[in-house]
Amino acid sequence: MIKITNLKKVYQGRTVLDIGRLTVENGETVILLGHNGSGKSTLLKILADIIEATWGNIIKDENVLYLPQQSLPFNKTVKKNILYSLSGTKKEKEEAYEKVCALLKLKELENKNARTLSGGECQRLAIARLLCKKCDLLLLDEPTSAADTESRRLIVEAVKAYQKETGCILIVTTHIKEDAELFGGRKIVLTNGKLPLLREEEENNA
Amino acid sequence: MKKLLAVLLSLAMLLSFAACGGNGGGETTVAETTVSEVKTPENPTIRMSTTTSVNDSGLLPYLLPVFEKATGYKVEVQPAGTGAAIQKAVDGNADLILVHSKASEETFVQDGYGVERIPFMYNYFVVVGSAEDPAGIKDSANAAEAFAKIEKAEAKFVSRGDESGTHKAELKIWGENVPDAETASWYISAGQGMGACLTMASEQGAYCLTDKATFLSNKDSLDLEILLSEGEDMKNTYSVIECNSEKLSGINTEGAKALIQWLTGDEASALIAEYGKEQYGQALFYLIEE
Amino acid sequence: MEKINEAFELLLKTDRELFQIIFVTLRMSFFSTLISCLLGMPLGILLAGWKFKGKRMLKKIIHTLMGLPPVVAGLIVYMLFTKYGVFGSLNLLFTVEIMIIAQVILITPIVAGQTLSVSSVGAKNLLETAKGMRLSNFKIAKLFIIQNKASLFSVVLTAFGRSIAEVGAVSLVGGNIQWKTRVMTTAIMLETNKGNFSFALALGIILLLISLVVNIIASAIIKQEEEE
Repeated sequence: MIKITNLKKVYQGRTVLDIGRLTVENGETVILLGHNGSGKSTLLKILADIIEATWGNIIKDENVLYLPQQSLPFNKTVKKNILYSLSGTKKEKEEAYEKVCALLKLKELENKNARTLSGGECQRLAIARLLCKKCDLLLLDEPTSAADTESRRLIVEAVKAYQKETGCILIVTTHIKEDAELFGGRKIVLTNGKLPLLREEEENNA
Repeated sequence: MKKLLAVLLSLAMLLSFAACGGNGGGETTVAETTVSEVKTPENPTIRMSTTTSVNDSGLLPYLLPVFEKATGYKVEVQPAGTGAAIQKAVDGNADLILVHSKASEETFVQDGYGVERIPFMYNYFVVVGSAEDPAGIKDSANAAEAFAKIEKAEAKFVSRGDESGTHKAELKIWGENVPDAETASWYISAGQGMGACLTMASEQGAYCLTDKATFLSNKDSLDLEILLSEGEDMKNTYSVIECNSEKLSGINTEGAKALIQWLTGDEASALIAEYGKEQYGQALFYLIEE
Repeated sequence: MEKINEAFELLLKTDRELFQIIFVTLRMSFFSTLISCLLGMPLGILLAGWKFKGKRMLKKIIHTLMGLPPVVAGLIVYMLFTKYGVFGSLNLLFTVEIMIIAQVILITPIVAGQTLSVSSVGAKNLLETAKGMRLSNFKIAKLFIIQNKASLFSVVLTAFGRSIAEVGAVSLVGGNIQWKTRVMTTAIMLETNKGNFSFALALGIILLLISLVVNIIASAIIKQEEEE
């Protein structure tokens, strides 16, 4: 479960995020919508401990995986990219790799250098590097933005299957309405770093 | 800011006083008698190529200002190893040379680059080493005997190894028994200037052949003593040679002639004979009597 | 031209000593480069990717030391290792080892500074990706090397170039001793002092050729790496 109270992020004198109260239940899916600069990415970064909030209180699980908007392909083969994310014995790593590989159809690309992949392939790889391990909170910032139709379908299906298996909380930002529908779940629109007034009241009553 | 300037100024003055410390008392009186009739010569710059030892011993900084004041010439001193000092003159970049390597000087004149070799002063090389004197060279009759003892004891010996005047003098003393640096690990061929070689000898407790002037001016920072001096095979003669304007272009012949005349004249002779007495209690250079 | 020919003939005559000098030069440069990179690269990466107390000060110190004159580095090492110095009892003065020490002091800040500027490009993105994957600090540091392999390789070559071309520090602490600590640069200095200008120049050309060969081998290695 995530509980956010009075969260504020001030950046160079400008308040970019200002959330009074937000609660997400275990196993829930939240789709964050909003324009560029509405604070979606900032919220994810704070939840992923990439940046610190100016003030506020957050209660959440520690075991977080996060996909930044520009996930970096490592200068290695696709297979080694995924294995680099894993720890444990060789056998465990191989098993996890095979599983996520099948899920995102990366097997035929496994010996290609990740830097030579297309946009969609690259995003599938970025997702695979996360889904090969367990977590309680999965944060995805625009996971389908650069992907073709086929890759988008694969990514959404893989993420949903993963959530079903692990029971994690999923928070996704997207500006593609269709994908928001595909992921399903509660939709929250951020405007200038703020939740809609109505939502705020709902939260207060909850 | 003003305070800082004042401090810097006084520091600079202090340093210049210190630099004058070695000068004999004769300088000012000599300068005063000639200062009235100075006329700037047509070509006032004289380029003098010389060995580091003459310059580092402080002799030139002591002599040249007197000459410059008396004649209006400006002497540009280029100190380098003897080889490089001569090579610079061969390349036409000097008006005269002041070096101490007889054979090279004679070749220089024979090849037509120099007009005439004029030996005008000398001093003695000395063998220095640690006070313990592991090879027991102290009572040797001459340097050749001392070197033989060093070789026998395989005591460490630092050689200039740079074909300088000092190095050539050292090789001459070894004669046919020059140690092979590759196999004889005690024979250290340093390939550096006199100061660096003395430092190395001090660090390693090694023997070294050096000119007296350089040794005395560096003595305080060295763990070395003069063990042998004034053997008949340790004489070190300095010569001046005017560069030949018939072979080389752009030579300031008048300037070179004037400086050579002055260096070999009575005034300079008196100054040279005095040099070092005040600071080291002994003369560092002797005049060649004609 | 004739003079240069003569010089090369002379070079061939003294080849045994020349090969020994080249060997000492390569040995010194290789180990100085290796140690400087082992110290400087982790430091540069640490500065590029992690926050810690005193980081700004450390950056300033490194950038200042990047401009340390070689002779000063040599002097510091000399003072430490002289007979009555702090490490005098180690008897390291005038050995190849101490030349390596002086060069490491000289080159490590350069490696650290250049690694920092190379690693800073795209560091934010790398850190977000890696932290999002919950990679260990060690794996993140390794990523900086994996991602910037080509640029870091040129940092290594810069270090090697500095090391092989340096003369002030090595002549001071190494002493330019024949058959022992004489390297290409100090040999060139010596020949210049002897007045053998064309021979010195010939040695300089050999030094450049060595650098060229090392660079060619290095870029062949990096090309092969890239293709894999």
